Amino acid sequence: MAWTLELLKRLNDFGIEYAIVGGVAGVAHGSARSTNDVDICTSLDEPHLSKLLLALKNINPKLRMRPDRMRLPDDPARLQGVRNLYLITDLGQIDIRGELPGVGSFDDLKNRTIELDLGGVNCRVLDLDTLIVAKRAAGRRKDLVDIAEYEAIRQRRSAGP
Amino acid sequence: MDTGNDLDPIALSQFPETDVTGDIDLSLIDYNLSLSPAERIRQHLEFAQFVEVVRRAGAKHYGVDARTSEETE
Repeated sequence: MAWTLELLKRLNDFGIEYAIVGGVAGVAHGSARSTNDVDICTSLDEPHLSKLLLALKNINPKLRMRPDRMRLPDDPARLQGVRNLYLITDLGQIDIRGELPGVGSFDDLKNRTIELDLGGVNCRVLDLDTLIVAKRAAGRRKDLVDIAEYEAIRQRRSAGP
Repeated sequence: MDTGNDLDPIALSQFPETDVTGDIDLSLIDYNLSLSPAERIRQHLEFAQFVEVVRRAGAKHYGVDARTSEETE
């Protein structure tokens, strides 16, 4: 099993609800553009944060944002108020978002997802329309290119075979 | 007592450091450069394997592979 699938399976096994967002979600909808890491949106409030820290504990999570690559603390009190976690783990890189600009929290977006079976690992994936909303809110140059592709996919899908 | 002041939630929550265009995640580049070429390729291949699983699951969900326009089972 690919490392990232093992990582997502681990989140599932610990009962963590999340949705895949970003470029990997784009791939699920038909994007041909490449991506290098997986982004998920989940709640970073208690008690979810504690469960997340437990799930990550044994895979050596490190904070990618810090030059010293400090290990992610096990104590949720030390991460109180954090909205995003950008991590390197033994199972690859993962960006964990507590909220998605333009869309909101996990609770706001969980009904705007599709459910996919990734080789026995069931995951929510942000739906195409909401992915476009999120990309528009992010507004970087690469997001504009992504939006152009996603809108082309949406147009072709609505036109039918 | 460790008060956790080395973890500023606001700093941690900001998007990773990027170049002037905002398109290039410099922290990801720093991490990649900390790996050996063999480790980089292995990571890339591992992630490509995952992306292929996602692509196939998406094609099955929609009933058609967007890259080839072929119908899926």
